[in-house]
Amino acid sequence: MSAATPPTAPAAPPASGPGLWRRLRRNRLAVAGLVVLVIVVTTALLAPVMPLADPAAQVRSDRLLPIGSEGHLLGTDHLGRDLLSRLIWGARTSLSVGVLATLIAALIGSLIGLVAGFAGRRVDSVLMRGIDVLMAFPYLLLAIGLVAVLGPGLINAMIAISVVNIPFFARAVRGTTISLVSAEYVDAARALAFSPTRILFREVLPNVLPVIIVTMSTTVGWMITETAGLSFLGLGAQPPTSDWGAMLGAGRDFITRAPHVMIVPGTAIFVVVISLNFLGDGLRDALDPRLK
Amino acid sequence: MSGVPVLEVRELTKHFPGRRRLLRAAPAPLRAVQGVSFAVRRGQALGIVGESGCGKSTLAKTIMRLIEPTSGQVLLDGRDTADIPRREFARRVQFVFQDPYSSLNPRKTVRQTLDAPLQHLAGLDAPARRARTAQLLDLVGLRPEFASRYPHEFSGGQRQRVGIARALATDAKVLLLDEPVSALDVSVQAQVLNLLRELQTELGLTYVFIAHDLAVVENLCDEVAVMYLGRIVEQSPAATLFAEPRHPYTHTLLSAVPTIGPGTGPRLRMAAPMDAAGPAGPAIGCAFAPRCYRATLRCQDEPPALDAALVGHPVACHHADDTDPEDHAP
Repeated sequence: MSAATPPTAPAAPPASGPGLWRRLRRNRLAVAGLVVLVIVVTTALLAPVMPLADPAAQVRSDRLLPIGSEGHLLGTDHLGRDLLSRLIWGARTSLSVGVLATLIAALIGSLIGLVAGFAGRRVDSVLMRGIDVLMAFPYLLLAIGLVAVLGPGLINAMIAISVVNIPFFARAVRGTTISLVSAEYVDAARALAFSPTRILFREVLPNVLPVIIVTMSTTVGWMITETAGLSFLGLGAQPPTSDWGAMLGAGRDFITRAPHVMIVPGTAIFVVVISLNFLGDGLRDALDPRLK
Repeated sequence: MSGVPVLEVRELTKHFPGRRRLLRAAPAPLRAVQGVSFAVRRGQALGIVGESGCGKSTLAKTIMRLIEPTSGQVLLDGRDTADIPRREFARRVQFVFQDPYSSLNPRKTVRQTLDAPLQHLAGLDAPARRARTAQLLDLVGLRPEFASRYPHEFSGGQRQRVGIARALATDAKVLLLDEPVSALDVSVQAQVLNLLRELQTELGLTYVFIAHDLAVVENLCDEVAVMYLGRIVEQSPAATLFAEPRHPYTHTLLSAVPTIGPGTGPRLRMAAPMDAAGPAGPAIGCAFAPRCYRATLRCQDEPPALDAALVGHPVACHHADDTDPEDHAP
């Protein structure tokens, strides 16, 4: 168009560095979430050096001890295993699987979204119809189906969760990419004879990155829940590996006699996921100046 | 002032096909640029004016090869640009964009923006790039410490200066300027125009300057082409065009320029608004006839050719030689 289009609003300042932290700090819930997560992650990392009972050691005489029992701060499960120890060791599994699944989904989904949004036309149609097919399945059902094909196990559960979450990244990234591809700086890069790959990764990607980060921070919570869901159904972590979802699943037979066996991992999942969501919301607000 | 024109455009045409929809006939193509030809000599500035939607920007982008032409040729120093490797073409011809807010990548510092062409097109090493960046910033009147700043830290005028520096990074001698000042404040417009004029003299640049503001063009250009619905309807040296406009559309454009003081301007020749028969409309007769105050039956049946025979410079109007005392701008 050749008319004097009014200049668009000044573009976002680079969302990184001290500015990001300053904006994030203003959101108390996000800070609280961050503090909780730091504590949880540090505890999980320190598990090997902490004076914890062996998470797999079964003491038949100490089955289903309640919270606050001597020597078992959070009680024991139906096999007499120390719940505190299992919780902390399980955090390592649950958190790393959730984060890893997020990274895989983010990598593949973002790549699909970037290419679809940038190439447009037929490539876009083919890729996005593929994504639509993935989205058409109820996602837990698809994850269960994938695990059924791949066989149960933590790694396969992680792969299934990643695949199920690819569409969220692909959609979000494609939308942003499309809005950026018509920017004049992309034309400027083409006028400088840059290759499409270079334009995509050096000009477009840095501007899409906040969207990817925000989507990651808001999905990692779901992914942990979903992994726990698969483990709960016995499709994820296999004994004796402790994992919050598996702990929850093991406790369901004793929910009336010893509810703490479910309450302990359930609370842990709840606290971590809600902290992640608060932090994710805070990050989104801090990274996206349009939401100010 | 002689020899092969540095940039020549021959019968350049760009049609955008209508988007096909399910169960509906494909609409007629949008004829954005229809057989445009012109030549620019070294060191000259050609202004291309016209109202919004007349195809000026499409023309510029087609010349830059950002858009593939439907037909026609662009020649650089007599060589068809389709045969020139893209990178060589990019070194010699560059583009300055309209919107200084979207033409710079918000996540790159000025140095990164300027580094990319220096590395990719000119193949300079780091110290040479550093020196050249400083030189470029000085050339466009920006302080050297601005190199480490991000676009949002600049005003519109400063951003446009960065855009000009980027275009000049690899010593391009031909610049296509797509309304480079229309998004700027009037006071800043003058500064950027002065900069463009200085650069032209200093570096011997050739400009194709797209604008809808005639005052801007009068100020900077040696020659002016007036575009209407994808065609050039009048082309002449700037002084002649502003003193003796021949095409009724040129009159209309000139009379739309606001003047200061009572009764000093020419009588307004307002055209009827752009009607439904827009760029995709039927092409019988003169495209301007529906809005023209001089239109006769002949205009509706027979398209006028761009012809220099009637008045000495190319005009596409059957009535270019009609003398109407009120048509002359004071």
